[in-house]
Amino acid sequence: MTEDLRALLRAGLHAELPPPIGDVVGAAIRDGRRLRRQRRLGLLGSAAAMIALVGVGAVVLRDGPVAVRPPSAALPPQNVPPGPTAAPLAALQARTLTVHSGTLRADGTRTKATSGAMLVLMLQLLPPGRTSHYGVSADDDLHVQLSLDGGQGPAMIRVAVGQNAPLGDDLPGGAFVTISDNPRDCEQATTVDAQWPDGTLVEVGLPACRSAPALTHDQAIRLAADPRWGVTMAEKLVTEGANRFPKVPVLG
Amino acid sequence: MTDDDEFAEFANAHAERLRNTAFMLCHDWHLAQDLTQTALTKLFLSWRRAVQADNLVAYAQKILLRVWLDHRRRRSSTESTPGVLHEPAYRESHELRLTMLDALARLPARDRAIVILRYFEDYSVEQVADVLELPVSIVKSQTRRSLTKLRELLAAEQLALFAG
Repeated sequence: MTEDLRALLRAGLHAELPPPIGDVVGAAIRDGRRLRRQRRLGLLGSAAAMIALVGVGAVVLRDGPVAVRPPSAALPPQNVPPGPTAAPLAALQARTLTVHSGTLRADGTRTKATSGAMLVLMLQLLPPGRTSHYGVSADDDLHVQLSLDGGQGPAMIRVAVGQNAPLGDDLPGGAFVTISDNPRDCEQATTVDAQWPDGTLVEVGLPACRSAPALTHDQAIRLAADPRWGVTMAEKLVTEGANRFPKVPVLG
Repeated sequence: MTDDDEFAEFANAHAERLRNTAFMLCHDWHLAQDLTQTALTKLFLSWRRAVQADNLVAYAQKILLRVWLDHRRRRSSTESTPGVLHEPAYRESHELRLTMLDALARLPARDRAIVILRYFEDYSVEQVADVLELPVSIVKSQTRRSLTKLRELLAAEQLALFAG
């Protein structure tokens, strides 16, 4: 009996003409990598939130409930100088767009990227405002974060850089940028990914738990799609990062 | 070889089989494709743990089953019937397939999974119990009930094939 059932089941499948399976494996890998990065960023954000809470708690215990003030940063706050205002990069009707930078990757001698270099580049790319609460992830992962107050209260910005397999040779020069809004998860309220043909991937995370996101979509795209990001970065940035950020709190 | 490379090698070798299992469960190639991709994504995320499993294929099938059961739970009120089917090679096969797949589709989701794993994937009762996290006794009793139900549902000419 069971052999008959087996035969019927297999006959059922064999009579089918299945459509091509396509790149189901590649799609799963891309989704998996995206989720893995988001998990890492989420962990980084949770650790930052814990540190912030501990900081607030310490202030409350020492000074009493009336004296609650924003937690102090481990590094002295810095100001991002005003820079030239650029026109919006794109009207964000679509969720995914291509940003043409005019160059595939930044020129010049590049060396292994560091968290310090990432913070330096972040400060160059952010809109004017007061920055604080610098943090980097452990294990040499290229994940950094800082808080930016552009006049409407501080809000966190996280940047992660990774390297995937190259996307291919026949792709237009520039980054593919994907904007994801996630209203159900305030720690990852907005995520902007920039993927370069050489496999470089930059992810900007904008939490919105206690305030609005620190950046607009256009500002986040400008940050994510800068060609200077990578697992290797310009020597000048790395050197400056070592000088300006010799010691940054490690989160998580 | 990196973890990602190892995963890609495994996934490329077994994606077709996973999709076939998914199709037998849901009878919809597009949904089967989605279920397979979701299952592979979950497998990718748990790859380091997965490679420690005794049977990696069974581990992947287990994820697929869970993805499908989750999908069923979310859409329990919209049970789909077999959709547009591709033109079969032979009319006789077409009728055979429709009858069998239609009968299978009328089984509750978990019972259908048991039948597919037991008689399409050739799993032992113990393996089915492990994949679905059910007691062996439940798998045995549900299998008996499902076979009885299939006999009731199958057309007379099919029943003759299936009554031995």
